[in-house]
Amino acid sequence: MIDWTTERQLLTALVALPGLGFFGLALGWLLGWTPTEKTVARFSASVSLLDWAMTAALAGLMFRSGEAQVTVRFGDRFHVGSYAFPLELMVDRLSLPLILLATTLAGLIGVFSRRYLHRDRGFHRFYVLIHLFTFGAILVYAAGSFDLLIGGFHERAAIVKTYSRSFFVFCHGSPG
Amino acid sequence: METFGAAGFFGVAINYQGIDDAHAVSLCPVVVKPQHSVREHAPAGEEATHESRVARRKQWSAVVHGLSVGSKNLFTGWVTTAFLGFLSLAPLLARVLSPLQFARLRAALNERFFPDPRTELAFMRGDVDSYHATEGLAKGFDTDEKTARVADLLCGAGLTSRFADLVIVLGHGSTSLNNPHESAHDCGACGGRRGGPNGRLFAAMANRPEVRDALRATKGIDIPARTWFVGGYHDTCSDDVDLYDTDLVPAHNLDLLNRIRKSRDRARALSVHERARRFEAAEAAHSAEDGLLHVEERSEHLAEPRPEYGHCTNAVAVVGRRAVTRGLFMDRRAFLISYDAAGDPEDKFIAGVLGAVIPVCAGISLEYYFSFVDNERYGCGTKLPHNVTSLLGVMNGHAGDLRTGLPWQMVEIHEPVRILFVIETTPERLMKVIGRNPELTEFVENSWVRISTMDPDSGEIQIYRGGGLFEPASPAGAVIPRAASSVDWYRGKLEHLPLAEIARAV
Repeated sequence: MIDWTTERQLLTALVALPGLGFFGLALGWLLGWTPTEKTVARFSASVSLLDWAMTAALAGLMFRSGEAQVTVRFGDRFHVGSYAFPLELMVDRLSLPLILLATTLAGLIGVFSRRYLHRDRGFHRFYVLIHLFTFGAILVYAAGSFDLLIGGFHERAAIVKTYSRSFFVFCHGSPG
Repeated sequence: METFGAAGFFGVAINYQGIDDAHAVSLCPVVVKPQHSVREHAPAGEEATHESRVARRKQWSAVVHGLSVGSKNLFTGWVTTAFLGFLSLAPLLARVLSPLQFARLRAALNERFFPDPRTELAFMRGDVDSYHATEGLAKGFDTDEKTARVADLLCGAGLTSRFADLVIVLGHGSTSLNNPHESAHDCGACGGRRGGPNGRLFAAMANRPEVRDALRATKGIDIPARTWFVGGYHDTCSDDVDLYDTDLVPAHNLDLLNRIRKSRDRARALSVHERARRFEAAEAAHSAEDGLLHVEERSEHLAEPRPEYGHCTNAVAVVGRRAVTRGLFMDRRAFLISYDAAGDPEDKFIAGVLGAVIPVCAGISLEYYFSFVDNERYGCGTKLPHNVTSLLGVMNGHAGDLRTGLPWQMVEIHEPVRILFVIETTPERLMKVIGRNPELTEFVENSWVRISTMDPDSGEIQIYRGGGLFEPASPAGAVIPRAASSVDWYRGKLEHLPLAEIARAV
């Protein structure tokens, strides 16, 4: 049984919120909902703002109480012999600033893209996927185990190849 | 107050270098090769300010360049990213969340740390020996050259008498952030650059006493001593209007200058309000002031792919007296070029006017036409995945060919029609002028443009059908609707609007 302290509630909510945002927008899309750009952007901004506020509040509570970390354990996904896949969230003084940075950047990208993607065919799809990305990024930082960290990290070969190439060109093009 | 329109280089084709520019550029149509160089410089007494500005700009450039290169190379990239990367978040947040306030802060800091000296143009030349040996350009203009250019423009526009005390000569251009296609919004008659220096130069030429004497003696144009020309620059993105060299305006014209400044501010707010109706994001622009804030923000927004629509929707060019179009709502789809046939009985000036206007307007019109009809082939597709490549052009993402033409966001509301020239003259006089110019003949006979004439006396319109044949226009039953004001006609509408007769000027 989980002892739902405020810190644990905040931690769970801040990880889950972008995921719920993704499911909400994606489900609406599948059901043929065609909201205006303004509606989608406001929904996205609300999610980002709330997530950021919860992260900041959690940081404040941890700072006040002096807690070094907050952990929520939901049990194990499965057991194989002595191996277990733990479903555990954990934030500490290293991961919390990174979550704050991720929510800040995700919110910023959402605000930026409202203008940048105006009248673009992929407007709705972009906002569906930005929530999925944010959810994955926060899960990476808040994963309490290596197994869950891998769950938050999704990889597409073409993107990795493209960005590796760009990174290589930038870094080695001017070694001086 | 009266307005006139002319090709934006004002007949002064120059090789120009501003005081902060690294090199000179041609400010004239691309088919013209400038023969004269003009430089902006700090006059006596301003050298110290100028030197201080140059020194500080160099220092700042070195810092910015160092950080930029440092963040990208193999070794220092790790350090700058780890220690300084976080600091770049603050300006990024400010730019995205509050672009206009950030731009104002940046402008204030620029003004504080990079003092702006008073400048003037070096355009005087006394003799032909001052040709620059290496560039093959004449330094400035001699009196005859200045007189000829001022006379050509004034006579062509029909401004040869009834001079106001102040004549404002506005060049135009466009400034927007994060926009590789910015120059496509600049002045076509200046080769896709900003025409402020041309307006400033023309005004300075027209103010020279020796030019006025020569105009009086050789052309019969008597510019009164009270009349003063002021050059300026109109930024069509933010609708900002700068006036140059106002410290030289005679004392007796200062009150008038202040009144003109107020009129200008009111006019730009109204113009912006009309323009903003096309922007879906400007839905909150209920008042002229709201509209002004909206377009100023667009020009400074890092994420804005449509800073302005520029010449998009262009369809008509009217070459004639401004009185012919006064009071008509033309939905910003017309080029209005001033020409008075009554003052040109020998058709001397119309040849010059059409020689500049048809290639420039046709070029702009066809650029939009082809970029719209096949945006992937003749245009450059959507702006969103564009990457600036080697400071040469743009390409999609990290691979592919350089993309040419206009992006979809610049042409999306365009209606692809060949531009129609309505020229206030007779068919016989027009065809004589066009027949003498092979370039214009090609435009007209190959139907790249459509031409028509409006009789200066009767107002009868004749449309050219090719092969030397004109047909009278027969707008049977056509009634131009009337509206109380422009705002009444366009408010709440996003689509193209037909002509309307406006009952009162707003």
